[in-house]
Amino acid sequence: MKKKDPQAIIIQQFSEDLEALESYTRDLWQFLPLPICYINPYQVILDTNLALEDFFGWESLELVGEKVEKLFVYKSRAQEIYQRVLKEKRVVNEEGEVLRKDGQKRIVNISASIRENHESHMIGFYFAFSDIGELKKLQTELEKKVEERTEELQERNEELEKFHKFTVGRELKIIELKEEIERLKKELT
Amino acid sequence: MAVVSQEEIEKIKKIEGKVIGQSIQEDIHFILQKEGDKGLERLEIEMAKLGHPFEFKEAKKFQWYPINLNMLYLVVAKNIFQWTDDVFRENGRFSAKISVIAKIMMKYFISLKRCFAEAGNFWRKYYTVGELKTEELNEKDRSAFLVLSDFTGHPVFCRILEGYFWQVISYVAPKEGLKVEEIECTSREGKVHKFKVTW
Repeated sequence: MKKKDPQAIIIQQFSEDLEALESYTRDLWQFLPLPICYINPYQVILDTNLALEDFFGWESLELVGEKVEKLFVYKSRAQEIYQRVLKEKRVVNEEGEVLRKDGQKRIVNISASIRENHESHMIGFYFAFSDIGELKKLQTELEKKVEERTEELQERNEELEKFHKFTVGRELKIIELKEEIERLKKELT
Repeated sequence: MAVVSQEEIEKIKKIEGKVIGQSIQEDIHFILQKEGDKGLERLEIEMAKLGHPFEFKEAKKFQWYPINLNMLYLVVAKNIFQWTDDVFRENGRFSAKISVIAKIMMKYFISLKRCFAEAGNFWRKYYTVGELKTEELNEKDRSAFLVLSDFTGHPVFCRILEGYFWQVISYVAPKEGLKVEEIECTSREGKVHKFKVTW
């Protein structure tokens, strides 16, 4: 029986390991529920995950090769975040408005981080978008409720003040009358 | 009648070297998207009829396969699906978008110069034969040549390369005016495959 070349066995083993590792990385990337994309220094999208496809309504194939600003309502906002992450290396929860394929706008928190090579040179960026639309809606509703309650309380307060003024005035009148009675009593005696 | 003539099969069989399974998987995804499961099934049937059975879904990403098998199924696909040159260019662009090798090479998509400088490295990750070099990169005139030597290939494969190169270069150059065109080909009596890139 022909003996197998040990080098060929090692290469075979490495190939299988590489395939397993690649599969693991891909599965993990696709599993992440947060919409994420990877862009190069030209701000061109090179990779996206499934959550991003679902959130924006674009297929990955339609986005790869496009500028990241395509996802933003205002291109200037994409630039602002890009410049900030370039300067600070990491940006967390920056609010922004993004655009879906169907034209719908969504309010999101954007986090971004640079990717560096082994020489610490920047080679790209990761962008993550978390939908805060529902949160924003709740916040607006809550603010509206607080405003309404404040208005109500102010009205109650005014009523109380009026009542207070009235009762205090009455008290003062009683005191005044009592003093008048006292004075008249003295005069009589 | 066979979908590929015996003469052409013999010519393809002479192509030496190996291709990484990842490349085959990229083609499978494209065929599935373009022609569906039935299309892939038809391709397998035609390959078997030609005496070269191949189970596409069994291809492993990091195993090496004969290039002639790669060329043969592309020619079979051209004939059974009536694919035009533009479809093959689309295949190339599609491959570059989903390629694991392109993901490995992403670290070089940081400048035009760096991207072109890594052309040879890129090629070697896909094929055991042939050498890809960049010549006359001129950023001012917005042009360069990609020269592939010691590689026979097939005209349909050259169209795939045009698409693949276009997609990768579009990551570092404005794609609006980007053009990749093969101006010399070994199948047209050229010594090498030479692609003119302008942007």
